[in-house]
Parts: sequence; structure tokens; C-alpha cells
Amino acid sequence: MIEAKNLTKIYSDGTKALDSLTFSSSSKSLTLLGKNGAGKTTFMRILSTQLKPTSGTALVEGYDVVKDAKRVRKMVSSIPQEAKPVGISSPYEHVTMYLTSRGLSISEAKSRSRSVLKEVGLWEAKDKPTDSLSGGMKRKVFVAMALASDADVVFLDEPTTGLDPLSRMEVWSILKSMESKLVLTTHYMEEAQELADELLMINKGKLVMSGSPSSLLKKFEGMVRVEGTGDIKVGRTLIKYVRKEEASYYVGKYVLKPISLEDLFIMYAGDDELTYDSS
Amino acid sequence: MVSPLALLFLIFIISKGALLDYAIIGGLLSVVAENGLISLSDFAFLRMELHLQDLLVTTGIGPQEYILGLVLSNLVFSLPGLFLYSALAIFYHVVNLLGLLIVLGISALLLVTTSGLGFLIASYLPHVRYSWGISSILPVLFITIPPVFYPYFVLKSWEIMILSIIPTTSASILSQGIAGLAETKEIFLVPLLVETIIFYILSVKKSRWSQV
Repeated sequence: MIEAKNLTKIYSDGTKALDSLTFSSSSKSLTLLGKNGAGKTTFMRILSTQLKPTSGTALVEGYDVVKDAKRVRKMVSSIPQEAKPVGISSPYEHVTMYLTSRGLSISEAKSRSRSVLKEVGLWEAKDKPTDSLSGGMKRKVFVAMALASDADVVFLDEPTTGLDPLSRMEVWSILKSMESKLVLTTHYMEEAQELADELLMINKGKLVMSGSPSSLLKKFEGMVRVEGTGDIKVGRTLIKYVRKEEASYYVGKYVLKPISLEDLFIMYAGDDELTYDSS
Repeated sequence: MVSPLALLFLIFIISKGALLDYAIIGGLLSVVAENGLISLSDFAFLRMELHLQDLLVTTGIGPQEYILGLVLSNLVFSLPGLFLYSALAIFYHVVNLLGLLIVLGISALLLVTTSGLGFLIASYLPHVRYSWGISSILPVLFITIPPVFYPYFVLKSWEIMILSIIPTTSASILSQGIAGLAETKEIFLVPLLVETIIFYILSVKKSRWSQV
């Protein structure tokens, strides 16, 4: 269970990253969505006991992340967005080091590292310096660390950023096989669609919407997206949403796309909430 | 290891070998002090570039374990230099075996002090590039100015008092005494121990580990 009550974080430079965020989720997989700077990483860092909120409370599995930080740390594993492997160390050394840091004995850590590295497809590269690995493999080292941790809740901040589609799909399948509760941030809507049981959309530190992908997409039921015309401007592209039965009028003149989470993002993650005529 | 060796060579040439003993004792101390201080850049790199600290915060380990790990890695990194200067000290009869062990003990205290200071400073830096400048200034303050490579008795007592704020001063005065190069002043063990404890506590309690 992840809970936040009036959670606010104001950084020393005055930036309000979270603004009275109140939210609770008991889903197995929670995905945070929002533009860059929306407050996703701040929320994640507070939940994983790295940052102290300015006010409000946050609970992980019923424990306060500030008052019971030690207990929370025993239950969670967190992989930061910007984490990079130590170039001279191998994947095997990384996972083993991470597990011993979490309190496992060296023999236990080595044995679990071996089995996890096989599971994530890094066995062949287990003894190579991570400097010699591709970007996808480097990212997989961190996924392996999270997987090996066997934590109750795993926080992953943009786990597949910079990966090619194949590597991304491989990481998804690993994440889906995990027994831990998963909290992740992403900018890839297909990733959210693939992994999320529940979505939390944040903008300017405030909760915009939450719910399962299918329930949130009900807002667009019976609609299609038309690109090239309309009064919603995304960069240089004009878009509008029309009923499926009206779509034939636009065929051949404009680009038509089925509704996806991207449309939720377009409509609700921006600075101004957009509206569309669903009549 | 290279800088102390360069200084040793320079001192040997300029003093025509007369100050070689000071240069060897100074090299033994400065090899660990310099590694501890320069590793500030490594600590900053690990924190800000690799985000290792962020990764480890949630594993439950604290700054104490992290700093001890860093001190140990600095010790391993200093070992070749320590072996070289120990061999030189024995070869040139600067100290006997017992004296060498005591000087190595003093070096160990210095390693904790300088590594702790390095970690403390690195934890407050807003960007890795600041670490490059600071880690090149600190060795001047800790190694060049204090009597590490020259006899401490050339300094006036008030100058020694002021320089005692820097742990390498006490370490050097003690080591020069043990080597029989100058009068032994055991009293300087007190500031060295106090400074080691203070720097260690400061690095554990006042460094930026996590906000929670």
C-alpha cells in the first residue's frame, strides 16, 4: 500500500515540486506519469526515504517514510533514474555488492546474483566490466539488482529510458515476472499500458488523475484521434478527437489514430487542462 | 604516490641528500594524506555522476559504513606507496621495524582524517567540477605548508600551534620524533587523535547522506 496525505515538497530554491498530493494505491504495479519536472521523481524519492517532505505524510506498506525510515528501507529497493554502473566492476560484482549492502551474507549474495543474472540474460556478460556493455545491458544490471533484492516494493525511475524497443520489451518481461510491488515512472505510454495496474498522473506536483488504464481511457470511449486539424495544438501539430462514426469524413485527408494513453497525457498532463467536444 | 616521490627527488637533489630522511618520512605520511584528500573527487563522482549514494541509501546502510568502505578502498589504493616508502625507510635506516609500525599507525589515523574530510566536502559540492579544484588545493594545505617534508623545529612555536589545526602537522612531528630526526613530542598524539575523532564524527554526522 502506497499512501500520501497532503504531501508537499519545496526545495531550497523555492521550487514547489509536490503540492499537497493526496493519494493511495494498493495495486501491484503503479505507474507515475507526468511531464518533465511534474514531481514524479520527487514523489518517488520521498517514498523511498531519500528525501524528506516539507509537509504531509507518506506511507509505504503502512510505515511512515520519515518516522519509520529504517523499516521502510528494509522493505524497498530503489533504482534512481540517473544511476550508472561503476565502469570497472562487472554485473556480478554490482549485484553482489548491492545484496551485501542489503544485509545478505557474501555466499548468499553470490548465489542469488548468479541466478538473477541468468534470469535477466546477463549471464554471458557477468564478468565483463560494465564499461564494455551496451546501454541496454547496463540498464539491465540495475533491473537485476532490483530483482535480486526481493524487496516488497521496488521503485524504478524511468527504467527503460534510452533502450531500444527489443531491450525495453525484455525489461518489461522481467518486471512483469517480479513478485514485488512495482512503482515506476516512465515517459513511454506503451510501457505504462504494458505494466501499470494503476496510473497516477501528476502535473506541477498535483494529482491530476488516477485509476486503471482502462478506466481512465473510458473518457475517450468511442473516439479516435485526428491529426492535422482541430483546435488542440501539440507543438506544431493540430489534433482533435472525433466519434468513430464521424471518422470516415477524415480518412484520406488527415492521420487517424486509435486512442491510447498518449491521449490522456496530451489532455491532462499539460499546464492547461484541455477539453474536447465529445458530443 | 608520484607527487611525494617527485618531492623526495627534489629534496634529495637540493639538500644533497642531507634531508633525505625527512623526505622519506614525509613521503610515508603524504602518500596516505594525499590519497585521502584527492579521493574527494572520487566521492563526488560516485555521488553525483553514478548516483551510488542514492542507490545505497535505500539499502539501509548508513554513512558510517559507506565512509569506512571508502577509507578501506583508499588504504588499498595507498598500499603500493606505503610499501615503497616503508622499504626506503628500512633501507636507509630512517626507522627500525617498531618505529615503522608506529609511523604506519599514525598514517592510518591520517587516512581516516583525510578520507572523512574528503567525504564531508564532497557531500556538499553542487557539481563534480568543483571537486577537481578543491582536491588540488587541499594537498597544498595539508602537505606542502605543514612540516611534512621539512624539520618541524625550523618553525616557531606559535607557527606550530597554528599549523596543529592541520592533522598532518601533529602526524609529522610525531613521526620525525620516532625516526630520531627531532625531539620526540608525544603530546602531539593528543591533537592527532582528537582531530581524527572530530573529522570522523563530522563526516558521519554532518555530511549529506539522505535527508531522512
